[in-house]
Amino acid sequence: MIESIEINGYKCFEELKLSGLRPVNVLVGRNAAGKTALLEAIRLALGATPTIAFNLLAGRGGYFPLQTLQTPEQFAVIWIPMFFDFDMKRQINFKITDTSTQTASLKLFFDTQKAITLSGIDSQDKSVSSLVTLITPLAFERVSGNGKSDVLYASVNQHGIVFDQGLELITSSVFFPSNWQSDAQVAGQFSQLSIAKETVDIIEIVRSQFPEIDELSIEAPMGRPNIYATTKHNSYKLPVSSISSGILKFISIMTVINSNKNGVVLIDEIENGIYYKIFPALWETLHSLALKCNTQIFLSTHSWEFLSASTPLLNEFKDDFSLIQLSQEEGTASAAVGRGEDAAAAIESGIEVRW
Amino acid sequence: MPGEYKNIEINEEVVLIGEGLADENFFKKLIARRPVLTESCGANILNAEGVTKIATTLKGISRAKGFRNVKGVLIAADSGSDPTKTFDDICKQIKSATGYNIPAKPLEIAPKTDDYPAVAVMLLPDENTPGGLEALCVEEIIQKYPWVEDCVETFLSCGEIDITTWPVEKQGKARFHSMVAALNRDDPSRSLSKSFKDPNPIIDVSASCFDKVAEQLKDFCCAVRK
Repeated sequence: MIESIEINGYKCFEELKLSGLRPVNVLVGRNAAGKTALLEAIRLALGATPTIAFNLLAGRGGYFPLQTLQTPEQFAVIWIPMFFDFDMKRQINFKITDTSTQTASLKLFFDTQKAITLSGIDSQDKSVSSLVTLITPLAFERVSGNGKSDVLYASVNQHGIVFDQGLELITSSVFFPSNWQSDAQVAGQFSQLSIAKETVDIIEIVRSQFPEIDELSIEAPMGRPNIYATTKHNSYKLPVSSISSGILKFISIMTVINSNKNGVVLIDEIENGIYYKIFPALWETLHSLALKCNTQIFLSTHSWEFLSASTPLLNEFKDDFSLIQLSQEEGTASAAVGRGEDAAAAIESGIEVRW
Repeated sequence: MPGEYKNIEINEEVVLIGEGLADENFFKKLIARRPVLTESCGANILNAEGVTKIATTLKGISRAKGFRNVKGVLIAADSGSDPTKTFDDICKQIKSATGYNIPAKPLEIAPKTDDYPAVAVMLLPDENTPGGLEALCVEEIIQKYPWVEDCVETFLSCGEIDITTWPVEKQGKARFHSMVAALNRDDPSRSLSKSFKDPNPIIDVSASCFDKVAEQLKDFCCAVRK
């Protein structure tokens, strides 16, 4: 489990140190306070590969065609949003320490020693020209908890951008963005859990919270797997996505936590699409699965109702929760980590914790 | 209701935690009506919703955005039937909130720590007298309507009623509510908390019986702001 994290130079974080992290960590703050950026930072620091960095940037709405020869400017524009103050001369540093005091680190920088010379395509008439471009690859210098180090690069060749592949640095992690849609990967994970007979609890919880659902299964009528439900009111099985995106999200969160034992699950704006009366059950489920699967959870929320539903658990399991309050001033984000029991006290007292 | 959305923000250097809504309304009116307090004692005034929930409020304010700028927290509570025991119980709550220093006696200011502000405890009507806020209010009503005292005392000793056997703070409540009922044709059941909020409040917080409380509040604000 992550005990502390240090971030330097990533997005809105010039310098940030968070310690006292817990099995379940709740991020709050106004829009643009840095909640999503912090979840992305954790995902990147844990995985530490160019592919993860690229996917996080693309997930924010960036359009980066990989198969086009890149100019230095095109290559740079992909990565600029990662750098604090958009200053690509800076380094980005992450340091993560787990509860066994092992520390892993990741350093991102443009490695001028590895600059690549390419002949390019004339952007006007698309013909091969004698233009020569010098592109500086982005280095991912990684040091694992046991001291092993390597460097992966995001670079280019004549065919476009290329990423060195590597194992995730620290542990497996999954990021649920706020605009998350069901994907085949979750259906695949559900299927794997089903084969191992580990979906019994999930189905039981779903039945208790959503009485219209009888059974869950994976079906692929068009070749693409999806989670289907047998309901009490229909003779056909239906994709859960067509019944309720909120129910599907609930199922997907449970599936992903179960599938990431000893890993980390990051969920942005968790309350989206979920009916408020389900919040207590969602909290119970998150907490119990986090402990059962040894999966650390970081989630963000804007919802007072969702926070309010947490207080019985925060009071009963004082050591299992933290509240991370983010704020931003003049482009620089800061954060404070508080005890879960203090968060519960504030919420019970009606004190605003979402800075 | 736990978790009720009140949007309480901390934006003053002094936080005053009252044990209930009546204390909250009393101190708000006291500060608003006394220029010396208005100038010297801008404070966020919170209602702990019960004397046993002071620890919850103390913990809770530590997660408010403006907490780092808070220089002092003043806890105001009824003395109850035993002021010493009440003070000790509040100190136990301060301890359980963790982080704050603990005062040794009422009105003593326990100094701030690196992360937590100074703390003091104020008891009402005062640190030596059993009772509560109602005792001060009864005093104020009697100043305005001296005749009502005998009427109420007669009523409260009529027939089998023997108020002298009641706990002191309950006696104060009985006297207060009897006087309010007798003096308010429009709203005989008006509560203590509402008595400070009306456009024409029954209780005048400018009255001399509240001078000592106002002075203690001013002293606290000035001391923690030094």
